[in-house]
Amino acid sequence: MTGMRRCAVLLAIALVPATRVGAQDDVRAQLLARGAPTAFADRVAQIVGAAAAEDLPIEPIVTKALEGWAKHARVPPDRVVTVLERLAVQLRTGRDVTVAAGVDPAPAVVAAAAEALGRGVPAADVQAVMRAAPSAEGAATGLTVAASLTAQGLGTDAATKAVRDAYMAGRPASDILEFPSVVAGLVAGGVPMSDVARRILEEGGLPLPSEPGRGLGRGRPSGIPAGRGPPDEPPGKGKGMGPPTEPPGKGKPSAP
Amino acid sequence: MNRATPLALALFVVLTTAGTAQDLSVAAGGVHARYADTVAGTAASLSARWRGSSASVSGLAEGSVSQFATGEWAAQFAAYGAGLFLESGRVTLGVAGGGDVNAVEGGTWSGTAAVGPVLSAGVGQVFATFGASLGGVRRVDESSLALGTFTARAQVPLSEIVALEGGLNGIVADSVRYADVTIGVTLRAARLVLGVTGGARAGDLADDPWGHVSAEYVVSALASLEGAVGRYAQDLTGFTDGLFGAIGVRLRLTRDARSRLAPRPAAALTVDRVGADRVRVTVRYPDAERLELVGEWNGWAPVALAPLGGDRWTVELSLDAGIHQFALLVDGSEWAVPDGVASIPDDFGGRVALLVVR
Repeated sequence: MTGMRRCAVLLAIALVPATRVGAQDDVRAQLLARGAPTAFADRVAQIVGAAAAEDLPIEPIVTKALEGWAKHARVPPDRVVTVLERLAVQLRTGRDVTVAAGVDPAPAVVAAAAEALGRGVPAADVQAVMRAAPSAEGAATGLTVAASLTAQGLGTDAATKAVRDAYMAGRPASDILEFPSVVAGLVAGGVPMSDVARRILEEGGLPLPSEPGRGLGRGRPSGIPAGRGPPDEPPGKGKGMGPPTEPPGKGKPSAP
Repeated sequence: MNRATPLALALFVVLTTAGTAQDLSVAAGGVHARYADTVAGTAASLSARWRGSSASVSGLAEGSVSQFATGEWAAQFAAYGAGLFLESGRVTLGVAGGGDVNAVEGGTWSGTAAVGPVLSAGVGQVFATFGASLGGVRRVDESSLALGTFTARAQVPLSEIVALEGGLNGIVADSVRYADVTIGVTLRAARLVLGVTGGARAGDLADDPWGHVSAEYVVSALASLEGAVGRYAQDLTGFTDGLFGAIGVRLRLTRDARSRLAPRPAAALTVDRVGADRVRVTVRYPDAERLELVGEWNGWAPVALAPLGGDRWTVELSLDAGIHQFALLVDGSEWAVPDGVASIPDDFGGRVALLVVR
């Protein structure tokens, strides 16, 4: 950290709202109460304080610090600190990427963007997911899912495409939350991860086992004459995780 | 055209595209309808349907034959496709096209073909589609008309199980001009899908309001029961009119189609909502004397799970919707993630499992 930047951070710390200073003290107190060494607790509080000074979301850092200490039997404190420092950088980048995308840098969105970036999702793909999402909350969900899919071993292109296509097809965030479980289920069923990725990138996406009947029950029921009339379905509707496009004749005036 | 033509066309599409089919199914059942004012009554029906898609193109083809109790037959074939070419944010622009041919015994037939641009856009939870097309219509009275259309439609999910859809369709076919407004509701609950759609028309071919009720019950990953009753709107081609009813069994022939309905793999973890902000988490973990759930929702503080017998353990938690990272603490010392649950690296050389709250 340069001298200028250190001064800026110290000045900002002095101007941090009391609640955020409180969070800094809270994490130190929590770690000490759980038996963490003072030096470790102090260092964590320092990282949290610096993040607060930059107005970055501090909850991900606090949570990760507590997770790291909970696993201290096999994770040395130095490694936890390294992870926290890297997370702070990712949060900073996540905020920059969020702002550059023209999205409100709400803490949940920035934290999710940081998580996705930390899992290796390129900034452009992070922004594409943000733009495809119907809301800031949806952006956070989509990025968390994309980060999880990537961490599960899916390529970043397939992971972000799955989320983006689902939002483009009008699927709700609650559907998208299922994707990591769907991928885990396919892999557990013997489908290679490369085939999962191919299904997303080249075919119609992934099944959603929790939603029997989605897609298959839409359109004309059995035995009903095929619809007549020109196409009226959106291209891409049903792409991604869902079924392929509905028959364009659906909903036309001449057929049910 | 004879009765075998639609199934032959459907079979041709199936065979030539089988490698990309994600949904290939056949359906058998019965239908009660009137076609082209020449055949009417109850018929046995057999149909085949193919759906497929690539990264930017999707399509559907369907063919069916109906053998009426009176001896006449009716046959239908339809194929549609849509391609995405431009995409920006939640807006996509593409081209969609397709057509259908419908015939009854005696040589009476109708057909439609059209192609045009389609724009779709998502705004919040609303997903809207706008399309226009040009094409032609061949009516059952052997006249042919140039066809122009405009379509606007919006879908709004009202909840996890209820979705609302409304549409406006404008038709210009030579001197025939009309506009239809349709509205529909779809309910999805477990294995059952219910749909109700109604519509009304202004302009030529004005008619009483029409509508239909449809239902699908997923018996298994292989088979569904489907049925519908309703009333057709007056048809530009003259092929359909009046009341109809249909019921049948659909069998899915492709593994991908069946996998959409496949049950979840071993439920090593279940999450059931028990209150507005409370969920009951049940996990399977064998050979543990004591099991604790440790997760990011409370700063990784262990919470004891209560044994349910066998390898099942449970606890109630206050959790928001979302993905929550967690692990199990086995007998107070061993960190583990349950088998069959999605998991990811934890940044510390281990793994954490994902607990999804919808």
